[in-house]
Amino acid sequence: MLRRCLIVDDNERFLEIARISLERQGLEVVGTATTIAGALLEAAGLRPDVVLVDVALGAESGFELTRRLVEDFPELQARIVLISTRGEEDLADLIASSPAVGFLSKSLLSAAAVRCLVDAGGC
Amino acid sequence: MVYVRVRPSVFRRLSGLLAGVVLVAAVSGLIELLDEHVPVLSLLVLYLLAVLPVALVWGSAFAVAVAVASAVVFVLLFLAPVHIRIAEQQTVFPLVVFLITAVAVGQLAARSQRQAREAARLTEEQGALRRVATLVAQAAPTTEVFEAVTREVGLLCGAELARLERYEEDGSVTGVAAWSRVPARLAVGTRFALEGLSVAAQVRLTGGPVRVDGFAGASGPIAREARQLRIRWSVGCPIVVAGRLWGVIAASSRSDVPFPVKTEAQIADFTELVVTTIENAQGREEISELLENQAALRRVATLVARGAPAAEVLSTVAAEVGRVLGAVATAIVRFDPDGLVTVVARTGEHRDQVAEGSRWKLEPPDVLATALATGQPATLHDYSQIPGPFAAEMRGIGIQAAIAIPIVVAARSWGALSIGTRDERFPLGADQRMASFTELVAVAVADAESAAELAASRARVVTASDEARRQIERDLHDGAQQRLVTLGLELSLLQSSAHPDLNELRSGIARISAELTEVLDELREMSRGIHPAILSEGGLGPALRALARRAAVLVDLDLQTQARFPGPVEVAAYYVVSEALTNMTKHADASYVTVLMEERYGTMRLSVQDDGVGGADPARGSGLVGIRDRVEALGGSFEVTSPVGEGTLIQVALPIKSG
Repeated sequence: MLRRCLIVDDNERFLEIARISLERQGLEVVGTATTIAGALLEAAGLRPDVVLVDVALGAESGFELTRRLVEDFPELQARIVLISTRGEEDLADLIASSPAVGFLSKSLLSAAAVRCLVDAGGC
Repeated sequence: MVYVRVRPSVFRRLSGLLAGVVLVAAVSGLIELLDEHVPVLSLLVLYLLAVLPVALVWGSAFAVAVAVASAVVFVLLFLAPVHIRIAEQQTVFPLVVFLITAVAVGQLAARSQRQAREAARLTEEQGALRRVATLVAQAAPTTEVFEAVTREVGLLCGAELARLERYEEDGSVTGVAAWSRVPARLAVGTRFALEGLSVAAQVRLTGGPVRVDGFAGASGPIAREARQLRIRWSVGCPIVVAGRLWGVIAASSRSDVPFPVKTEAQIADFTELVVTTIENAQGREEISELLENQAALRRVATLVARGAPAAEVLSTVAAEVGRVLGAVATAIVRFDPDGLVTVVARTGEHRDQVAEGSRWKLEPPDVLATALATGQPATLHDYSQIPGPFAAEMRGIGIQAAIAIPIVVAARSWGALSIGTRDERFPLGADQRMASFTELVAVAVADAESAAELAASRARVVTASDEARRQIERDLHDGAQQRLVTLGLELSLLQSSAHPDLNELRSGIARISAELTEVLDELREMSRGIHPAILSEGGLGPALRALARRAAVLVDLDLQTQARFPGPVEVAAYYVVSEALTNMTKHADASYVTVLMEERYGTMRLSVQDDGVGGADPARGSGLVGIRDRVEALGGSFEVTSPVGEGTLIQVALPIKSG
């Protein structure tokens, strides 16, 4: 059962709302980060069960972060979910070629949806 | 030599004497025969038959001699034997009458003969002048006219040889034409120095007609040759063209009889024809030079008007200028911002010296530096005194003097056109003629510069607008979209925290959420239209695949390269495919589209082919016009082939230039 979640997004307001929303739905948000460096640091210290990564991190790329997270923490393989305000079809190619387990549109973000993607048996 | 000199005169006298004797003897014989039938005194008149021919052929002096001789012979043969008294009045009177008559008839005959000769000579002279004048009027080649003049002068003057010579600036003369009755070495077409006594030297000295009486004792090669040819008398007349002594016509004779007094006047008639011929020839030469110049200018102007590359215009100008001015070397140089000049075009001899592409530091008095510094035409008469490696190479080419004309583009010295010559005698009007070429060069350079500026500015406009659109998309994404998404999440939170009994509130929130999702979808669609974010994120492959997935027709993508390209190239390629797919879906009624992308020799090639109705006209205000502009702004090409009923093929080539 997934309990501990790390969210990486460059928008503080979103991080705040997402944290409240997910925690209410029973997914503990153990940390947040806004940059690749911050995310790698948090991941090392917190050892989250799942990481939500925004595709666009300001000037940095969520795809790049995804690759490096899986590289540094092999246990995160199939435990990273890419999120974006952009549509999935626009990013399909990049999502498919990344080691992320799947993609969630930010407007459809929920603990259940995350579990559904990461924990294939969960939904 | 002495023999030859006196022979004609002696022969003439002897033959006159002989003829007189024979004729008097013949007439005496006739009188002897008739003597018995008529009074002998009345036969005295028959001696006029001897006087007349001698008067006609040998002149009045001989006629008088024959008349006297006739009278003496008559007295001795026919009066003395019959003892007619000479003192008798009847006898003396007829003798005196005969003598007076014979002398008068002899004088008249001799004079009419002289007049006849003079008339014949005049006719001959007129004929000779007419023949030459006809040649001149027919614009015959100058050499032909010169030869004709020389021959006619020689014949008319009864000369042994005649020559036409031209004065050169270095003091020598060039044989232009020659004629002779006797075998002689007649140098034509070559120069020789005027050393010692010569007709040409005398004419130059006096500026007028001259006579030379014998070359005996005179020094110099010309006098020596004249002695070898046994020349006695020579006469020469100047040829003056445009106030300048151009040359000389000379006639020479072996006779010890001097040329008649009017010989100079006769020759002068011919010199006028020679002058006309020379002036005509110079005029023709000037006209043909002018025409050649005009033709060369026209060729260059055509190139410029056609918008030929500046490099082609420059090398053509260098070639044409070098040819029409007969320069040893011709060069066009560009003045660079670092103060050096670059040779951008070079024709003529030794092209490895002052070679195309070579760069030089030049300072006055070098002619190019002077022209560039002053913005005015400059000439240099002697390269031998100029220091530096550039002058050394110029000397190496064999150049002594040079002209440089600045090429002024937009009121600044862009560069210069320069010719180098072996000596300082530049072709007539060389600077003006070069200047007309530099004007064309300036136009071509200005055109090329403005074309390059225009292209750069178009590319900047496209790049700047792409950048602005990318920024707008990013702002939308980071701002409005992000906030709306967050608002949606907040609404969901609100809904989940609302009391289950508050149905109305919950359904209201659900409606707002749904509406918000739709707004977000719309916004996403709009921002994708503004700039495809995936392009900067993932490159052309993913972006084109996303396009293909969203397209309303079946798209077969054949991407031969996965490489990333400069931003403007990727954006242009994306829009080409995007616009093509839109058009093919909307207008072509296509069901299947193939897209091919490949990179070859630094060029990206894209082709989009559909199976639709064809007949697309890229000029007719469709989105294709915008795509063409975009592609051409990047220096690419855009081509639409769309025969009716056979589908549409769009082919694009984009040069891949980084940065």
